[in-house]
Amino acid sequence: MNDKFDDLVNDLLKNTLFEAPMAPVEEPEVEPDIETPEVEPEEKPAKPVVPKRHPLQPTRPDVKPRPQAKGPISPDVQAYINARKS
Amino acid sequence: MPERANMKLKEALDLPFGGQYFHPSKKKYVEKLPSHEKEIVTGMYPSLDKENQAYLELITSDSYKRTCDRLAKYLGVSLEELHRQYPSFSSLYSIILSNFFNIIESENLYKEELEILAVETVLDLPEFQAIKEMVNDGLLTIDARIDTPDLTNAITANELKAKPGKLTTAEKDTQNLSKEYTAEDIEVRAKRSFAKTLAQGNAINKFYLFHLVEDKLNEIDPNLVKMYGVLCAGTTMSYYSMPMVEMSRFFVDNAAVGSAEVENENTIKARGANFPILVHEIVKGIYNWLSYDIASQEQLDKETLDSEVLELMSGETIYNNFRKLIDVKDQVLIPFIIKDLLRHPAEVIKTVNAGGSKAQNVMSNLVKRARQAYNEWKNSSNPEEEL
Repeated sequence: MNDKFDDLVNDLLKNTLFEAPMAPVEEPEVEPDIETPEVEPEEKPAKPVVPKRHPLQPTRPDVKPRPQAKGPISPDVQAYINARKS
Repeated sequence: MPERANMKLKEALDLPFGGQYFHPSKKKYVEKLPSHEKEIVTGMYPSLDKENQAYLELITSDSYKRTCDRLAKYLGVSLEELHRQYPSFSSLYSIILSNFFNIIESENLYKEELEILAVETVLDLPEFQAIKEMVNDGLLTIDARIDTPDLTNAITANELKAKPGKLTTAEKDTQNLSKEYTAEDIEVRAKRSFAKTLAQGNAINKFYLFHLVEDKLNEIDPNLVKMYGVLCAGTTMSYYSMPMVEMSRFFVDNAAVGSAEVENENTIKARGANFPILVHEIVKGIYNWLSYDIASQEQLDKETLDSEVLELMSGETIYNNFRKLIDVKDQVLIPFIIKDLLRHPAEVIKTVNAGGSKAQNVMSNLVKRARQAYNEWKNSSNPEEEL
């Protein structure tokens, strides 16, 4: 008796919980095909050309040293040169 | 080395004929440097005791001796005769000055040709092969003229001291920060000082490049070569013979006869009163261009014309010792070697200056690295060319 009851419950559970029919699934509306123009495969942008740095080139273009001088030969040497120019 | 150090402890500057042309104030300066100079010297020169100054005295004595030899040679007398006939620098002075003015007269109609010749003479040396390639490739411009020096952007120690009232906020901050130099500052100052000393020494050495173009100079005036020799040796002697005074702007503007300036990362501007001085300035300009980027703008701004005095008096021996460590076939690598050496700690420079097997080992490595750097550059532009 009990066995029969168990089978019944099992059948019931089975039907209602596990084999219950699924709600009908609505088919999604399909958009009509739209003709899309063919697109040329996009060209990859060329890598920017980085100018090669010579190993002797200064690495700090943001700084500037002071000039160096040659002299002195005579305290009034420029006066002589300027006099010649004029 | 220790024996030499002990010797230097006793006799300090070791000069021929008692240093007849060496002004006492300059002797005193070299033998007892002011603290700010001493700090730099300690940073780049090996110590031979006597509070780290014996090495400086040794190389200054050697540079002075060479100048005496050259002066005697170009005046056509022996070293003994030189000192007997010209007992003081003032007795030599009129000869040097008259040569200077006679050169101006002789060169007057050939300035443009001599300007081109000066650049070519320097760049034709193996040492400047890479620089010549850069000039040819448009990577570097050398603007060289026989003309009045342009020292507008230079500064004397006097002007630097007087500047605080006119400083911008950033400059004041810099000055406050630098009252006590940081270890990094001292390191950079020592390395820059070494680079500038090397530059001055090389430029003094290259004064005499005029011998390479004697034929062309003889076409202008057959007396030029001899006059150049007397002028170059004589003006080098004046670094030792003139009293140690603080420079003023007036003095700089009226007495200077050449200037070298890095105008920007691609341009070197050289001005000289005549051919050998222009050659000298081109060399200085190239070397300064090779080395200035190790320092900040604040550090570069504090480099004064006054500091050149010591660099000039000791430079030639420093340069000659440096060159002796490099094989003749590797001369083309010198600019790369210098550039690389300056990227190393000042201790490495000290080792190089000390000479001997340790210095040779360091140099061997630097040569290897320089060759690699140059080859990589050449291969990237011309795969078939290799050193």
